Amino acid sequence: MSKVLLVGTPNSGKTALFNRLTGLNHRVANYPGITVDLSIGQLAKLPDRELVDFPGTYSLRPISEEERIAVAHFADALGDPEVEHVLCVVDATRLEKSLFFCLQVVRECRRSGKRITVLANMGDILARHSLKVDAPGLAENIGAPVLVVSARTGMGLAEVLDQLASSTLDEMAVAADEEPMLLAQDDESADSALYEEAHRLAERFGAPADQLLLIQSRLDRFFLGSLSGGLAFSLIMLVLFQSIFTWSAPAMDAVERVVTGLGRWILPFLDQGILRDFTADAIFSGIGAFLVFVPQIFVLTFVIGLLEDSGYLARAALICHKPLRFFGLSGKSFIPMLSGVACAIPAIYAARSIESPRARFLTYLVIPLMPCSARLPVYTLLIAIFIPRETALGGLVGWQGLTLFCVYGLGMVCGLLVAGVVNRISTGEAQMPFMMELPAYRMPALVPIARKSLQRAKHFVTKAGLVILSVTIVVWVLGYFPNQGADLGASWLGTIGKWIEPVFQPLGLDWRYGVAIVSAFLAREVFVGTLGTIMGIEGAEDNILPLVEQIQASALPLGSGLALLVFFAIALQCVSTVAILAREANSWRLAGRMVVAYLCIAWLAAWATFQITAML
Amino acid sequence: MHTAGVLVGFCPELSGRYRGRLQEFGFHAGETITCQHQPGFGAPRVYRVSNATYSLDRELAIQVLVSLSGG
Ligand SMILES: Nc1nc2c(ncn2[C@@H]2O[C@H](COP(=O)(O)OP(=O)(O)O)[C@@H](O)[C@H]2O)c(=O)[nH]1
Repeated sequence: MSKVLLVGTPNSGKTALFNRLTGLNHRVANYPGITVDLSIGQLAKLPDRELVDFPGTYSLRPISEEERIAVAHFADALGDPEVEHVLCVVDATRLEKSLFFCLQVVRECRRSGKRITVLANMGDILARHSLKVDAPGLAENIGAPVLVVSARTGMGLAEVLDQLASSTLDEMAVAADEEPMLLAQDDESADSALYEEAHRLAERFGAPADQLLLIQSRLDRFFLGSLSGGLAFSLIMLVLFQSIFTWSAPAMDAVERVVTGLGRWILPFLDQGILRDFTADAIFSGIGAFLVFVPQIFVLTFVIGLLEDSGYLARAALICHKPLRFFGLSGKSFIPMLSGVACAIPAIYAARSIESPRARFLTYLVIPLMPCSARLPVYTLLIAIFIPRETALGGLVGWQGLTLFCVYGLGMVCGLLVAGVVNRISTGEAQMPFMMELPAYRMPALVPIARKSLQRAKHFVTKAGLVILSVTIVVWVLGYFPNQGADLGASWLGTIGKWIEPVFQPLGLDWRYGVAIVSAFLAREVFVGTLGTIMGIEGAEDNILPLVEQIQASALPLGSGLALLVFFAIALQCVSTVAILAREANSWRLAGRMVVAYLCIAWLAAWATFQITAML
Repeated sequence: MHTAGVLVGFCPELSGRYRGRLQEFGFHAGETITCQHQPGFGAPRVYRVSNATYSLDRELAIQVLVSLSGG
């Protein structure tokens, strides 16, 4: 199958174009050896071509790790005989910024004999403001066809497909007299000629975008101002956290009702015995307990997606730069940290865009302490058990929401403290200066974000679900045998549990919680499923009670509940995070040290919490 | 705010890779640079060059030599 490469500068709308051109048909490939995710998809209208989406870079002369990897792949791909066409996306409203990269790409494509088409994206914005870029003029000067397109409206995409379908190579004949490829080398003199050229072309053929920038500047005055910006930031973060609870509550209730309803309906059809016990304890109590949280993951990803797409996240990063700098981090750490609120794994990938190795290392330390959504099931469960549903201040603050806010805060504060301390005591490379593009403000494109959030939720169900199902089955088998669930304490699970009980006893937790915590090392949310299964075995036969009520009935002390919350806020209990961290940071030692250190801190903090609560 | 100036060059101490990146952003000699915002919370200032806006921290910004033209 022949391949088409899609390249472009960041924020030029490359991802949006990729989605447009491939429809839903794409997969994310992990290139062998190096961890960079390239999306690969079949072109919807030309099924015999594959479109390969490269990470955005400003230049073929990389300054960050992320760019280095992207550029190295691009160089490889240009040598691949299957690749015949390169699409280079530029932002038509900000030509100057993209043209330098574009010229570099044209030069490299010419050297390696690949066809290239330049796509001037965001054409709809130009049209809306009656602006124009001179595409034919530009095409003539750079020696490659230029098409004005819009990923939003689909404008011009038919011509792109025509270009791809036609296989005339004449306009891109290899220039024989050019010197060999110099990709990714410090080739300053050649580059400075390109800067001049890019500048000249943008001035001559680009659209004057004063009008667009005026709108952006007004919004920036508001969002970056000391008072208005601070207020907006707090408000947006508050809405983000509230939305996790309030917007997803109806969906969570619905899932819970469906799961329990389904269980009550199905169980009577099964004969008494192992199958029935397994279905009730492992499937409905175990898996059901975890499915309830899927809506929350969807909502969280969706809201972060909205913020990112609107252009606000870059402003938030800017506002946070100085405070984060105090802890050795950078404003660019903000986006990985916020993604970490959804999941540590994409957050670790997002940290690639931090050019400064020192800030990146410190960001790695913080990410696992960010309150990821896998902790959410555990938090929600514990909060529902111990914290009353009541509200205070006339319904303005709910105690449950406030508690969640505090546990979230705890993780973040710990993260900053760790970064700050490590930054002070470690020597090493100095920080790099901060430079960041501020993208335009845009209406977020709802459908692609919803689709992405759905994918994330699905991924969570399939990937985490598989782990949870296996753990649940193992836990159930260990807990059910050898005595058919008659006495959990005497089961194999009980024996193992009693063995590890001394570790958790100082926190006021019995062996059942110990087992649940240990199983949570596969993935935190497994805690809920394991506890559901254990309580399910213990509970009355067909009585699928919500887990909250079962634990409330077991009279777990408040101090132990709070200790659990604290423990989960700090401990690094996710094998996938550890693996990705080790790979990205290229150091198993770092990952191993983090696991041990965070576990010790978590246990000590949990113990202190239990002791303090007992004194009150 | 909105001080504008014409870029005349870069400090010789500025390392090649940052100079390169700034040039890729559009910071060239002869180009007009406008300081668009000085955000709250001590955040890095926002500069406009050509049709794009970038934020650069102080350390970096002082290495970009600009001749003030007022405005
Ligand atoms: N109005 C408009 N917005 C677009 C267009 N293409 C992309 N966007 C928006 O531009 C932003 C950046 O797009 P994205 O695809 O994430 O850029 P990437 O960084 O190059 O992958 C997002 O907010 C998109 O919704 C377009 O053709 N028109």
